[in-house]
Amino acid sequence: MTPVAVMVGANRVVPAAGIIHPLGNAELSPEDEKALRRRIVEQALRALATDVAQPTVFTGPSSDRSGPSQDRPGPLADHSDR
Amino acid sequence: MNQFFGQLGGEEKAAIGPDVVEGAVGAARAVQQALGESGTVVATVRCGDNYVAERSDAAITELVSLVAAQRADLLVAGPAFLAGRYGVACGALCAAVQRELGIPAVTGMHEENPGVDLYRRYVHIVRTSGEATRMLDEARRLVALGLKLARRDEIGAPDAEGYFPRGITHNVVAREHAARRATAMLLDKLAGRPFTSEVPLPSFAPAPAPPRVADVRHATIALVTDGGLVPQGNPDRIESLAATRYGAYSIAEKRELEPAQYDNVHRGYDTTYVKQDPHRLVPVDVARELEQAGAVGKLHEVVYSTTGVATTLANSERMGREIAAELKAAGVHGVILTST
Repeated sequence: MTPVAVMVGANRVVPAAGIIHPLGNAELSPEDEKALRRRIVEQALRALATDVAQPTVFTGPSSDRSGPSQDRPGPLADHSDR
Repeated sequence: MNQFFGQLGGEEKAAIGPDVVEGAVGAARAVQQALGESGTVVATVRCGDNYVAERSDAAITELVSLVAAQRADLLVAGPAFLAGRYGVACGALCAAVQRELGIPAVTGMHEENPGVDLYRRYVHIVRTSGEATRMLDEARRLVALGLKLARRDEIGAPDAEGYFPRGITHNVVAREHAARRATAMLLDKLAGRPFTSEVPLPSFAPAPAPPRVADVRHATIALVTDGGLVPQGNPDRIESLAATRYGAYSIAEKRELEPAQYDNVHRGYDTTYVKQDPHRLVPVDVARELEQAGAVGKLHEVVYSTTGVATTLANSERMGREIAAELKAAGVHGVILTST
């Protein structure tokens, strides 16, 4: 849903883990799931601490990234008019 | 007419109150010329820009009663071109005259006049240039549409009639079926030719980005969601879709959210997983840990929640404003809004 968030003008957007469980993933072990959630919240905190001039998707790798990657290409990255 | 187009004077007369002059005065003469044999300007109602801007509703009420006394078949207001106070006054007066007197009304403005966005849904606003250099041409276009409105003729599409879209959908029968139209549009696009989408995307006014939270380690951070988390029993009766309400739920003293105490009423996604563990939607557990580790100054003790599914833009904006005002009053510095 990040393209929608950008389209409506949300200024700081962090891609999460999916529509049915944005801050989790039932297929992971409880420990891995919580680590995933923590990474997303930490990414959100980094976004809050960053100045932006326009809707921006924060896809950058976090320092403690491990386990399954939840990054997806941001809508700004694949929005080129081909 | 405002004081300028009503020939009362310039900015020094902007505070002048309403009056009525018999027949066409000032720019209303262009309206009379455009009308020709089709009608007569019975009176010109005039008022200073600042008089209306400073009193808004009360001034419009006065102007409506002056218009009512003329027993006219049509109100032509403006055109206001790029004049902001004038445009807003024209839009407000046209809307009020239509609503309260049942008299059709038309006005005209440049697309950047703030009166356009405020009143185009309620009033036929003819698209004009920014300056009054071609007053008679512009008056002709206002009058052409105005006569149709006065005669209760069918009004064509905005582009055809030259007014700003009012956000009204009409069913029409297309000449070709959708596959042909879509293919033609694609071919135009590939060839670099101009084309017009049949489904204009809604445009959202850009929200200026708030400055960054300078020091998250000393900031109060709140959690908000449009994913439908509610306490068991849904005490605020938040709607499953097209929400008009939101809830404010205390997480004071809570290290985590106990699944048995929560439910989810969102009807726009499979809520099985967030019912099993509400943290999959509202990350109270890790936010509390980050607070205790000093990475966040303080986790705000209230979580706001509603359902974001088929929610009207107007209700979304209102709820957003209300929640933001409460968060600001509570001294919150930053918000993590989790969405499904």
